[in-house]
Amino acid sequence: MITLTIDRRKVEAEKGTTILEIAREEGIDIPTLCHHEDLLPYGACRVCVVEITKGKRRRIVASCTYTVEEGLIVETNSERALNVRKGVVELFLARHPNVKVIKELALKLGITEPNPRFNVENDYCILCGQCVRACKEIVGANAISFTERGITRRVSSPFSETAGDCIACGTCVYICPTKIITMKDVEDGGLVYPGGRDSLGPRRIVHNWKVSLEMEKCRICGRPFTTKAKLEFMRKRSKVPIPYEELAICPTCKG
Amino acid sequence: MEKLKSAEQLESLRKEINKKRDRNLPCITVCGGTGCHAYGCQKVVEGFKKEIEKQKLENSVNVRPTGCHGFCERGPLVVIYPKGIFYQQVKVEDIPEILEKTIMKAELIERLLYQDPTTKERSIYEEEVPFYKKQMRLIFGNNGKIDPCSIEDYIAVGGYAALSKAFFSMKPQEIIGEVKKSGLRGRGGGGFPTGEKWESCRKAEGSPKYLICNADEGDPGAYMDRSLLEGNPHSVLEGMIIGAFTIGCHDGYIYVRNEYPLAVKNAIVAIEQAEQYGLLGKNILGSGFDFSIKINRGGGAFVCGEETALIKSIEGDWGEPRQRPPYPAESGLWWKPTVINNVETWANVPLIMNKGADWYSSIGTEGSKGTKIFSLVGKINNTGLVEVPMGITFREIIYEIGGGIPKNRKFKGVQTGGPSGGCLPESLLDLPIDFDALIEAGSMMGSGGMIVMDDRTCMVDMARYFLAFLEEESCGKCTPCREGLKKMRAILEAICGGRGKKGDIELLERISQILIDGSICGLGKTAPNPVLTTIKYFRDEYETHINENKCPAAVCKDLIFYDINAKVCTGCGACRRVCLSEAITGELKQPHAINLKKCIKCGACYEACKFEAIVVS
Repeated sequence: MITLTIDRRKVEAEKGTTILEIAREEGIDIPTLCHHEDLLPYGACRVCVVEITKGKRRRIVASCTYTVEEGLIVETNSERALNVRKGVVELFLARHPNVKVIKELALKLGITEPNPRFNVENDYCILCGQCVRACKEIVGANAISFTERGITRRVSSPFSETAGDCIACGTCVYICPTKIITMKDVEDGGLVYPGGRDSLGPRRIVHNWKVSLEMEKCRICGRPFTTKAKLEFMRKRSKVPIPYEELAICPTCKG
Repeated sequence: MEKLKSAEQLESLRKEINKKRDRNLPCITVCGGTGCHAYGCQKVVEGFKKEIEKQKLENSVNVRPTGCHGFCERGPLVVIYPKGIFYQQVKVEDIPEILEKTIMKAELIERLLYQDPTTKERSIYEEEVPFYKKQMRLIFGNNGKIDPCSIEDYIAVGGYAALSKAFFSMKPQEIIGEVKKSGLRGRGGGGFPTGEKWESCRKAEGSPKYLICNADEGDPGAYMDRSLLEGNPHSVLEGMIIGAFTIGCHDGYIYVRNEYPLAVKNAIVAIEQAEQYGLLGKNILGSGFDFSIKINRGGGAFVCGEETALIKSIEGDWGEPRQRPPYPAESGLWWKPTVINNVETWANVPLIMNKGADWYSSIGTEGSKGTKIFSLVGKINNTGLVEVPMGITFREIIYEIGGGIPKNRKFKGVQTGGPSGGCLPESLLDLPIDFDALIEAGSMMGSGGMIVMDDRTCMVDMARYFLAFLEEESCGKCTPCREGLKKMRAILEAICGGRGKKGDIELLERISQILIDGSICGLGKTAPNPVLTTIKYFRDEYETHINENKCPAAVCKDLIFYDINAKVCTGCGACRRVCLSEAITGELKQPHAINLKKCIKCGACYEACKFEAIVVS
C-alpha cells in the first residue's frame, strides 16, 4: 500500500491506482471529458488536471494517467490547477459552444459564455477519442481511427471511405459523450439509381463511418436484430467454438 | 573481410590501414554535406576524378568526398592534405588549375582562399579561417577528414578504440560512473544527465531492454544531427554500442526522418560495414556481447522528436506522446526499459571513453560540460555549423565566428532552441551559453538551432511564424496544445493585421500558462516560449502594433506604406526594375515615386535601394 495526501487527507492506495481513481473513491469530484472507466487512461482532454508536490517539485499532471506514489501530495483544486482546467474548458467552449457536456462543465466552473476574443466555431466532436479507443480496446475491431493532426485532427473511417472492419455493433454510438455518432436500422435498405431501385433487405447503417450492413434474423422470432458481420466477428473471436446458428438468437428469445 | 575477433585484431587492422596509407601523399577532400551538395559538390568530386584520370595522376594524389565541414556559406569546400590548404567556393572550372598549381607545384591559388571581408586578409589553412579559429571541433572535427562510407577511414583516425576500451577494460558500472563524472547532458533539448538515464535504465526491471538514437531533427534551420549522421555515422554507432553494452541491451534503433536521404543511406552503409567487421551483430570483437541496430524511418512529423511519440511511432502507432512518468528508461518501447538519446549525445560517448571524464569535464561551465554544435543561420555572414565549448557567449559566436550581420545592420535578437525556444535580445549577447542559463533567460538549448535576426525583423511577426509552425506540427492529442495554439496564432495574426486590442498581451500570457502547465509533452509545454520571450524582451513592439497600428520593423504588410524620400533618391532606377507590380515610376536621375494603389508591399524596392531612399511609414 502507498500512502499519499490528497486535498489534505491522508489516504492509502494500491500501487498502480491513478490519482483520479483514488479521488473518486474518496468522494472528491474531479471533472473529466475523455476519461471512461472501461477504457485505458488516455490523458488527452486535460480537464482532470491536479497539482502535485513531489519532493521540492510542484507540477500539474492529468489525474487520470498519473499513478500514485509514496508521499505524493495532491491538490485537486489548487489555483494553478483550476486555472488550467478553466482555461481548457474555455478553449473547448469556443470550439464547441453547443455541446451539452461542454456547456454543463463550463457552467460548473463559472464560465457562462465563450471569450469574446476567440473566434467561436460550432464543432460537435470534442476529440475525446472514446469511440476510437472503445472500438480498439473493448470491441477489438479497430474500424476507426484518428486522422490528420493538430487542429485538423478528426475521427474517421480509413481514408474517409466505408469502414471495412466495422461490424455496426454500436459501441461507439453508445459511448460518445456528445451523441454525434448516429446509427439506424432500416427495414429495407435499398440502392436507388435513376430508373430503378434494388432492394437489399433489412440493414443497419452507421452514418459517420459510411457503413451499411446486412441484418441477421433471429432464428426463433424471425425479427432482424443484429448484423451478420457482428455475429461472424463474435464467432471468430470466441475461444470456445459456438455454432453460428446458436449466436443468431436475439436477446429477447434467449431470455 | 573476416570479422574482427579481439581488440588486438582491431589494433593490428588499424596499423595495417595506416601503413598502407602514405601520409605525405596529397589528398584532396571535398565537403559532401547537404549545403555543399546544394552547391554542386558532387560535380566537383567527379571533376577531380576525371581530371586525375586524364592527367594520369592516380598514384600521386587521392580524392576523398567527406562529411560536412560546417562552413556552408562558402561551399563547395575543398581541403588539401597533408598541409590542410583551404579552398572555398570551388567550381568545376577551377579543377585543372588546382591540380596543376597546388598539387604539382605546391603553389597557392589566391582567389580560392578565404578572404576576411573586413581585414581583406586571406587565410591559407582551415584552422586560420576566423570561422574555425574560435571553434572547438571535438565531435565534428573528423567529419572533414573521413569518407563517411568508409569504415577504414574511421578506424584509421582511431575509431572503435573507445569501444574496445569499454568492452575489455571497464565494467558497465564503471562506464556509467565515467559518463556521470563527465557531466554529459542530453543534447536533444532537455539536457537530462546521460549517465543518470543509463543508470536508471540499467537498474530498471524488465527485459529485453532497448536503445534508441533520436535522429528526428525537425527544427526549421537546424541540421547538426543530420550532418553528423551523414558525415560520421560510425561515431554515432560506436556510442550506441557502448551504451548498449552498459545497460545490457541487444536491440537498437536509429529513428531518422526519411527527408534526410543521405543520412539514411550513410547510416545503412555504416551498419552494414560494422557488421562485416564484427563490430556490430553477434559476438562483437569476440566479447560474447550481441547488439544489432535497425533503421526506422520517420514520416517527418516534428512531434516524433519527442521521445514518447517517437517510441509510439516505432511501435507502429500514431506518433503521439503519452504522459511521463513512467519515463522511457523504466517503461519505453513496448513498455520495456529504453534508453533514448540524441545523435550528438551518442557521438560524445566515444570521446569520453577515449579521453576520460576528467578531461571532458574540464571543458564547459559548471552545469554544462563539453562542446555543443549549433547551426548558425538567419541574418549572419557565415552561415554554417559551429561547434563551440559550453559557456561561450552569443557575441563570440555571432560576431567572431559568424562574422557579424550582413550589410553591418544592427543585431536585434537571436532565436535559440528552434521554434519552441525563445528569442533573446541584445542585452543578453554576453550571456555564457549553457543549459541552465538559457532556461533562466526564458529560452532553451533545444537541439541547437540559432537564428540571428537583424533590425528588419518584426518580433510579433516572428512569434506568429513559429507559432504557426507549431500549430501545424501539434499532434492534436491534448486540448491546450491543439486549441490553445490556434487561438494564440489567431490573436497574433490580429495584432500583425492591425486588429489587435488592449488586453491581447495579457490574454496571450494567460493561454501560454495553460499550455505550459496543461500540455502532455514538450512540444506544447515549450510552444509559448517564442511568444513569452518576445513579450518579455520586446513588449514595446507589441504595444506599438496594438496602440499605434504601426510595425516598427516595417514587416507587417497591413500596417505599412512604402514611400520614396525624394531628397535622397538618386533616380538610379534600381527600385523601378525590381518592382513586380509596376508601381514605381520616374525618369532616370530624377526622384522616383510609388503609386500606392498599385503597390503590393512586397518590399523588393526596399531591399534593392542602396541609398536608403525608400522609407516605410
